[in-house]
Amino acid sequence: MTMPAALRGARARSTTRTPAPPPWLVAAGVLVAVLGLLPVGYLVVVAGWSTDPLALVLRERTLQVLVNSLALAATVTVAAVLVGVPIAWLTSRSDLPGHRWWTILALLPLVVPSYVGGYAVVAAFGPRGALQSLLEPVGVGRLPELYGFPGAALTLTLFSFPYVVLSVRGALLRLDPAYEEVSRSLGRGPWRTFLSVTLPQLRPAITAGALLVALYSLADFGAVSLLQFDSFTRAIYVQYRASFDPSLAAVLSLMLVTCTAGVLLAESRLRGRARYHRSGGGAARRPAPVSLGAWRWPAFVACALVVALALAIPLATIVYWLARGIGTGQALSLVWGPALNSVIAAGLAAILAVLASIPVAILAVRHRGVLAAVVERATYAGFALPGIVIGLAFVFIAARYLPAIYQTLPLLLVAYLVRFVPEAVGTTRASLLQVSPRIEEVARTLGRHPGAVLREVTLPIIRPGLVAGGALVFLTAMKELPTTILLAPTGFDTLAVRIWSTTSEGFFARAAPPAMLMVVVAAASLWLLLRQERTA
Amino acid sequence: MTALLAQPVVTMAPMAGSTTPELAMRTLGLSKQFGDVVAVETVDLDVRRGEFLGVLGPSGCGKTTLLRLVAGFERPDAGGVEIAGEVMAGPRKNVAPERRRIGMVFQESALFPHLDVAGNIGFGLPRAGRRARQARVAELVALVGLAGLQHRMPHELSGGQQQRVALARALAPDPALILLDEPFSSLDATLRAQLRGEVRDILRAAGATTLFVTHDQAEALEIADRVAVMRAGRIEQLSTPTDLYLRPVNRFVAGFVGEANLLPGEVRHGEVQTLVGRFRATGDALADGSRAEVLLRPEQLHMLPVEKLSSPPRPEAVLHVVRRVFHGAEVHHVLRSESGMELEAATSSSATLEVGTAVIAHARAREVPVYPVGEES
Repeated sequence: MTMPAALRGARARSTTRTPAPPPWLVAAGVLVAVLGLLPVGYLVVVAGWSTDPLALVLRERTLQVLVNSLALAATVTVAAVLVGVPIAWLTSRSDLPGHRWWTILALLPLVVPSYVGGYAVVAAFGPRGALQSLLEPVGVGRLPELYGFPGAALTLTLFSFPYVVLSVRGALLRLDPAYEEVSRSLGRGPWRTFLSVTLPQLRPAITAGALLVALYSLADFGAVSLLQFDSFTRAIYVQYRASFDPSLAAVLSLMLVTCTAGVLLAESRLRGRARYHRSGGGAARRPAPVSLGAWRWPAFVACALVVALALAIPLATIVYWLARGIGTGQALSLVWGPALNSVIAAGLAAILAVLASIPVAILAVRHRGVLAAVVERATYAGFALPGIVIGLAFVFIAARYLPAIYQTLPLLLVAYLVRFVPEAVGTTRASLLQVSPRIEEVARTLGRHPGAVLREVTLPIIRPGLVAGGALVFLTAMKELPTTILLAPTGFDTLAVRIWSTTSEGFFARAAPPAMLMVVVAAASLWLLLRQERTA
Repeated sequence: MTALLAQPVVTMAPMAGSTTPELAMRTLGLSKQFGDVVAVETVDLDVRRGEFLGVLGPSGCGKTTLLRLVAGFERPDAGGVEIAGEVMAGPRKNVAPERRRIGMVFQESALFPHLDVAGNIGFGLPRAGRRARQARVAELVALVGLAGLQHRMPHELSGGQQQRVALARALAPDPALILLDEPFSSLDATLRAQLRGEVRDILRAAGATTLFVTHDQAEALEIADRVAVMRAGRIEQLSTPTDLYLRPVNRFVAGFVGEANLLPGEVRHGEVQTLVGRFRATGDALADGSRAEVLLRPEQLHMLPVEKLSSPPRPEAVLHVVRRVFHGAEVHHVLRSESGMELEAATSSSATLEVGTAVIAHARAREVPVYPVGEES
């Protein structure tokens, strides 16, 4: 969900005359940009190794994967809209009991990594899962089939519908109540007013949220791999593992990137138009909450059901398996090694991403122009690229040109950098925009050369933004699964990898402690995001 | 840029060597354009040491660009800048802002938000000599009247206090020239009037040389020793506030500085005959028979009610009071002639005339600025 915030930054404010950037800044910015473009560029090269790449695209299995992915994305998107829009309306415009709490509870699933969600779903509803263990004494021997499409669609919907809530809620709160009041004054009832006045105005926000859900479903690796559904990400991974021919994996990756890039493009176009929704100036007026009447408690139950599925049951499942693990004498201490690895890798990634974000943000804010725009866009590549694609590209590059760093921490960090630098650029850019160029000019007149101005004035002022960006990257990198699976040094298990691998093998109790820790990390990242929203 | 350089370029050659110690700053043929927009066009400006020089002009006239060229934030297309006898910008030379010995105060105070008052003021002082540095900071804090506030952070200060810290910060390294860019315009009216007097006194006490830009003519006339009126990148007139007010060189300056009545008339026998009397006309452009305009300030125009006249006036000279504008100590009367021309005459508040009163107007001054009509201005 940091995606929209950072992309919003890409729309440059236009003013006249900006000075030409110094060479070191250009060099640093271009380096970051090249890193961002490297994965796709190299995958194109790899795809070209095949004698006939087009034949690979048109193979029956490839087309099956494409259909699978699109069907999954479409199903999840529709389901997420059906769940998300009512919740957004209920929590922002109605007298739903405790609507403030529902808002937070409905957004929480967003920060839970999909593989933790996948783990919870499998460990709760799967064969040998918690539900079956509980039901066995009553004679239920077999639950309906979970693996494959139904499980993947269920999991992804549960953990992505908050995108729709977030987007639609924002639009509802920004909506000028005057439109609805005019409609009511012209004789239309509340329901007809909603359908003919409110809903059309919400359409851009619904579409924007839906596209984010689609992007999430296409790019997700954790849930589909745990639920064994052959969408692009899983097919790419299986292909990479099973075969020595990298061309097919590269072709699959490029097809996936084409899909995600298309979705992202549509989303950013739409957002450009979806802004300003007020009839006139003046402060935003909050409309009176709509009374639900007899529907108040049914609505409450519906919200509770969604939150139960997306939050309570996963948490309960983790606690259940944690308790069973402890009961059977499993050592909790096993989790500390992976936890430490996660902290090291994510910490270094955060530092690198923040450092790399500084030249990009300075170019974008202080030296607007063609070069700055190209550099900034290129760094945003990390958003369009699913983690599995970035991971795969760097595996190929290192295996061929840099065998010395293949399966070492530095390579993993480079991949993390490409994947997470957009988040850091977003926050760094936003804080730099708050610093008036006049402040830097004053420092110049007081005898400081540009480098000293950066060190003594600009960086100290934007330090809180840098720290926040670093924290965001840290928490996101902690949760990163596919890049880590592909690039982590042998034996370098992180929490994410541990949860995924133990779940894949059906050791639910062993996956519980790292999953619990991951939930804590997820909660911390939500807290940080909400705090940033407030200060932004 | 190349097009500009192809034109006869004013070189800095006469400046080098012939430096006059009384000049704190001078520009020669200074020009700058952004794309098609000429922001500053062949500006020659001298600032004498210890002087308080204001650059006055409407927004977009290029005054801020002029200031930024002097500071070194923009590079001139042609011409040069000399500060304290040293060439700072010229052909093939452009000294960085940090080596120009200037101090700058912006409209927004631009205090470093991560440093306290003392940290801000001491920022430009040499790192060595901690004790000397502290002494200098204390001296400046006292000078700007903020003793006891050394350890406040910028956000804990009022707008006026922030501007005084910004001023102290600019003064601390003892620059050759202080540049003020609309330093009062972000403050409310009362505070602005109070602060500009204070700022002038502080700069005087510090012995500083100041170049400031403003769009507020009252501000410029009140505090500057000399004022340069700028329009469309050019300096129209550079003189003392009194001269600027009483002897504007053209109608633009006359209209921009103070309120102006421009009365049309025809030149005859070296005089311009107008509705309110005859005025001496000299100059080549004022040949017999040509049209001209006479500048009269509202307070130079006196009204006599027609009913108090001993003999009836010429009918075309009769004016009627159509509106009164109260300004406190004085009241401006808007007068309209038969032909529809409007004039403004000021009286003290105790001697106002009712709306509708028929009057004739006359001016006691004979030597007033006369502008040929048809002249481009």
